[in-house]
Amino acid sequence: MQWRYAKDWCASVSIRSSLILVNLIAFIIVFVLFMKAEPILRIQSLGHLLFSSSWHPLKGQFGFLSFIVGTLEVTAIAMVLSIPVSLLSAIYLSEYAHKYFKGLVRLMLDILAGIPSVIYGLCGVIAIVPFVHSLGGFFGNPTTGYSLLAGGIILAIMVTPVIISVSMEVLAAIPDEARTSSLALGTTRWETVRYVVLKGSLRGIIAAIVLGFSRAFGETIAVLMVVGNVAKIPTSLFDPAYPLPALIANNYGEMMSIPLYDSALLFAALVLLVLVGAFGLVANITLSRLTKKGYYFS
Amino acid sequence: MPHISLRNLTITYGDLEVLKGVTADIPDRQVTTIIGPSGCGKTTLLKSLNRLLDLNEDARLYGEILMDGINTYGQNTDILALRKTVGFLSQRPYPLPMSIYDNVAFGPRIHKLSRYEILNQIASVEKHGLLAQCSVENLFQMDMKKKNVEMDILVECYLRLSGLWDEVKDRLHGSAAQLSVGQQQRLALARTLAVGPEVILADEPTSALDPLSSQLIERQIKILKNLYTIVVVTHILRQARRIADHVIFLYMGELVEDGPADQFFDSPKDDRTRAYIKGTIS
Repeated sequence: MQWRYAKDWCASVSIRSSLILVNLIAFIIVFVLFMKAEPILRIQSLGHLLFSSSWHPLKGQFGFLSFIVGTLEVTAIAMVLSIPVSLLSAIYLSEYAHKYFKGLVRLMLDILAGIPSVIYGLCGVIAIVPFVHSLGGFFGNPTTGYSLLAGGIILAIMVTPVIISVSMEVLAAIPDEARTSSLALGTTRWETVRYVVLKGSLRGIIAAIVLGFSRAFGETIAVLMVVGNVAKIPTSLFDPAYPLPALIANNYGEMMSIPLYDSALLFAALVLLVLVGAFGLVANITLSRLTKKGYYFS
Repeated sequence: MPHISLRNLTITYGDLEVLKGVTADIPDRQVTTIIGPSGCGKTTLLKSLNRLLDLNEDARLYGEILMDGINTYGQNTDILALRKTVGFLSQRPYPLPMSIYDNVAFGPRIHKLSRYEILNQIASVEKHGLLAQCSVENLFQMDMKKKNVEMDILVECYLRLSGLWDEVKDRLHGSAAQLSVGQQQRLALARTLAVGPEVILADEPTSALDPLSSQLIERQIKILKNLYTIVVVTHILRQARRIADHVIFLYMGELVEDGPADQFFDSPKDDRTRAYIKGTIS
């Protein structure tokens, strides 16, 4: 009997401590980044770091605005391209497609989601960069093709399978009674999808989009390979950009002899982390607001 | 009023023959119960009546279902109109993800019923004196210039007709998901009635409910049969005895016996019916 109590005690201690460990790591990361970024914060004001776009490390000028703008814009392009296609595909698969076809596509989506990002990057260089190059020529906007748009397209391609498969699960969780109840009133399939299925799964769909967004936000290699990496605020879709993850990956470990460079890069990492965190927080608050306001979610 | 006849109806799922050549009539403005052991094809038969069976990709149907003499599985059938005429109540109620009010108003809004159509529909319900204590005159004295007042009247009318009004009148714009399961089933009934059907199909409507809620549903069914043709699938023999005017008994996909309830229960003709009523087969 005592032995069983002991085992029970062990189990609760170990599950609790694993959770604490996982959360502790997150805190340690934030703490270390902050400590390392602290020297540059002591010398330059936060406002200057965030809102100046002059990036001349040799002169000691570290303005991150162009990188922050680049990150946000690349992600925004990716989401604009990806969300409509992903949602419509998920609706088709969940509500219209035959079950065998659904199984086949699910398999393909899993494979797509599992492709290493460097391969997406290569495909981007081989296919998307020339495509954007000729697109730019077509619109009278000479470009190398290594641009904001190329980065956005490659990110959209990467994020789409994730959003589709999560949304598909979400839609599948709506019970069949919902569809039957609505169709039995004489509604069309689309009316049922729109007013009953989508409305009932709004929460989950937002969660799927947030997941895709976070993935796009932090994606490094594939973007770095096609986005051009020029530290200037892009003025058009065909201009090169330089997102934060690419900046860090390209430069950390090199040119470390420049004073404060190391600290500046870690500050960039901190900014990236805070942005992702803030976005997650906003999404969460929005979700709980929706839940409070509406009875939409059963 | 549609007169429903099944003519040599056979339904298969792949290789499995669920219904085998069923021929029967469903009388108007009566409660017809379809009884039989589980897996005998009751629900399949019910779902074929408003073509909800179409949702099942594997199902194949042979034979005819005639409604006013027209085959509903013919090529020119307007499925949406058919489903509007033949309402359906599922086993487990599912409140649509919206308020109680919007649940009832959903169908009429989708079908874009005009004020005239809505008021006409309500007047035909009132004609049968079913809106006890509701007094449509009172309703019609509401400010008719107010926007969407006809929808307010409709929601109240059908919530009364499904016996839910008194419980929800103070929280019409609250969540439908927060109602108890029994209340949700009556809400589903109100939702079904609101599009103005002539036939109501109910698939074991009380099987998910507690005894008291079941009783309420049975009571509403008995009231509503004055206005609608009602078909109820049930596996509870006592329930069939309580509510049925007409009985269809299925066994292993075959129609064993059908006829008026008194005759069916008091002097069954078939041995299998006798055995089922006695409880020796199930």
